[in-house]
Amino acid sequence: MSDAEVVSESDPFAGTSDLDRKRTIGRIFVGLCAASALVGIVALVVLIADVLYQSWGWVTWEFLTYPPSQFAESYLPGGRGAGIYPALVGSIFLIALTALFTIVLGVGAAVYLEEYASEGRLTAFIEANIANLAGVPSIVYGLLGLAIFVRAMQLGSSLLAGALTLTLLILPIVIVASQEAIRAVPDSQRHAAYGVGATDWEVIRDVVLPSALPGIMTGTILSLSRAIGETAPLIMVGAATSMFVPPDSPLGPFAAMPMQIFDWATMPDATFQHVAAAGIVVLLTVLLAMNATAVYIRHRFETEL
Amino acid sequence: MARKEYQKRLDELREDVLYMGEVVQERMRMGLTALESKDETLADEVITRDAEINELYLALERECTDLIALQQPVAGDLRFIAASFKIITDLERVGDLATNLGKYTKQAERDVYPDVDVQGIGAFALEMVEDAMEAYAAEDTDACYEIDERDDELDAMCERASGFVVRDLIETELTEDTTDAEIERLLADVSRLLLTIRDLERVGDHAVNVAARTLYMVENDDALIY
Amino acid sequence: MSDDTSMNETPTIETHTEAKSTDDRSPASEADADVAGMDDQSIGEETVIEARDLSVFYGDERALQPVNVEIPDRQVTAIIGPSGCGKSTFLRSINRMNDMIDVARVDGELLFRDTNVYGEAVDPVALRRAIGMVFQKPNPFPKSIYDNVAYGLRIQGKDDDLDEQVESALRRAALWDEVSDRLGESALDMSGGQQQRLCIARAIAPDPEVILMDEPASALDPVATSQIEDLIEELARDYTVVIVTHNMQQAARISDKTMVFLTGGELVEFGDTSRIFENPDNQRVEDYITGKFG
Repeated sequence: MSDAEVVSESDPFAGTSDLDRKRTIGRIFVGLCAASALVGIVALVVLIADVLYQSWGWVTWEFLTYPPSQFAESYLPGGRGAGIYPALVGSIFLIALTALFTIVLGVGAAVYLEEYASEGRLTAFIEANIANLAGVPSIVYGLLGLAIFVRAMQLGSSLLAGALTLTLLILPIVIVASQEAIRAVPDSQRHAAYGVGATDWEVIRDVVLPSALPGIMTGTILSLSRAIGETAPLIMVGAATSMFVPPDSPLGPFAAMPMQIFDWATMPDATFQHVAAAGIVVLLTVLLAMNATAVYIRHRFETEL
Repeated sequence: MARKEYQKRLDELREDVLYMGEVVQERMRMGLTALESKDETLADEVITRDAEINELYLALERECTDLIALQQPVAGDLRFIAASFKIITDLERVGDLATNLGKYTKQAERDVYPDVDVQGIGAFALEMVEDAMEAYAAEDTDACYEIDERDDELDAMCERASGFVVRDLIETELTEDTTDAEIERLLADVSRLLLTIRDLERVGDHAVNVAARTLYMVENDDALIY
Repeated sequence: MSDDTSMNETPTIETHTEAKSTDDRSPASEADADVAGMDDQSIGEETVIEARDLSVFYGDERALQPVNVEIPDRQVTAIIGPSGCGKSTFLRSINRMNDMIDVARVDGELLFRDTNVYGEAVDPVALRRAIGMVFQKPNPFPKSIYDNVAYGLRIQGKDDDLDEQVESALRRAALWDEVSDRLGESALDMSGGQQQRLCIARAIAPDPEVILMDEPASALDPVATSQIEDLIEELARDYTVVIVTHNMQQAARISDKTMVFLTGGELVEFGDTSRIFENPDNQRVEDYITGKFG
């Protein structure tokens, strides 16, 4: 093959034989990364599959609309009818209240820190603390809620006390997320408004908040979906494990889904494993619905104008 | 249309150059009339009002520099400004030659060579200037070549006239009675006439320059620029 | 300044007038020496903005050496100079946009219609209503074209006949013909050049007296740039325009007066644009504009 000889003699790519080896290393690295990603996905799929299998046929209309029962037979299709209703309503009220407090306090704090507070040691100290608070275990917030809301403020083991405790729990995350959203609003937008003679308040109202809203909303909703699954702080503030009626006032006692599920899971009768799984499916559905809302809001605001 | 202000200034420059051309032609006409009618008042006017042309020249030169310095003209615009910049120099020179005619008028006391058709030559040269300015205004390249050809004719006319004057001078018989003063006057008249002819020939040269710059401006063709 | 703080409003004004009458003499005599022969047109020009020993500091660093300048009414004044020479800093000190930088500090006086904008009684928000601004990158709000133009009018309470005012502003910004049939559409769907003209429309809609422009064409293509330049020349009939540009040719093309800042935040020369570009007094300015120094 004289052609090949000629080519090799004048090969412009001589001295690149190491590429094969490097490429192999690259492939191995990609493989490892893909495997890591699979662990998470596989675990989640297995979990969901197991829960779905366990709860198959147990999530009925009755399950959603009846209070819980001590007797496993009541939950069976065609039984007397029993379910998650008080805890479902309790969780929804709890989250609604938490959302209200969190948005007001979180956005307020974030706006103050980003738009008004001057860059100084105090601001930096506050911000560092907020960041640290986000990592504090939830049981600690439970203790705090017990001490402040239940005891000191005499709210008792009420829905309000629970909501305030959960607010404390997710507030740092919401503040940080809102700060990031506010910081992501380009300065050019603020300048544009200042340039035509807007006041600080007008700039925040007309420019900063509208632009930051999708980010704030997604951050808040994702935090809330973490809060809806929290059990430990609710145990600490003394929420009922199992209630037969939904809460009738913010100051009344309440049950929430995670605790109800925990209650079922600790029942000796094996049938209750299916009931607990059904409860998990309801909880996960609410959670996914919230996340979907977050995604929708983000998408909606980003494409609109 | 982008760059409106700039375009406006270019249009104004063209109009101003044409206006300067008209002023210069008018001044030539006045100079020739003064020469013919020996009108010293008119001659004085031609001489004193040369300052107007000089001012016009400086103002236009300034405008051209401004346009080049501030507006970064390129391509056709640049050639237009460069051509205009040169053309106003020629026009200013024609103005000076008109002034010369005024000066000759004041010096002349009598016609020595009525056979020499100074007015005819002058009219011919003036028409060349007029046509050159029209070619500039209309960007008419054919007219530019035509003006160049007419210059040969003008040169021939001037040569014939000069020849006539010189031959006549040689043939002039000086008698014993001719005083020195008379000889002096004769020499002055002859040289003034020769200068007049040369000046008119120059006017034609400047008209050709205007045509040459116009040709360069329109077609980027330097055929007539020597 | 400390005297001013302790006084109530009325004496403050007196102090200002006093300061003006005494100050007037010394800079005037200086100016005569500087300006004589270089600003033949300066007679009859009304001064809108005047800087008197205006310096700006960022922390301890001096960003602007004391600037003394008089910016005339209804003309385009261009500010040129190399990067970091303080030209934007000076521009932003006119409508107090530097206030937004925590560490920025201003010394000296900046008079807008003979009132020191850094005086105690001046509200920067009110100042910015009288001195509009257009920025380097087009920054329309993520709203409709109409709402963008109407924004300044609405917050300034000038919302009578809003439709007419919006149309008028868009016409003055040479944008009406292009957008009159899609005022409800998002401003973000426009081209860069259109967005910048929209920002100009937004700035002129409330009818300020002065328009500051910070490199308004630097993010645009040549055609859009040319349109903006035409527009600036138009605007100078009704407004005083002060424009920062890194593009010397642009300054030459569109401005009547030019300020040249050089490294270190020093205003080295100010005068008629034609004189600056044809016969600058200062050798460093000549080196800069001929591109021999950067």
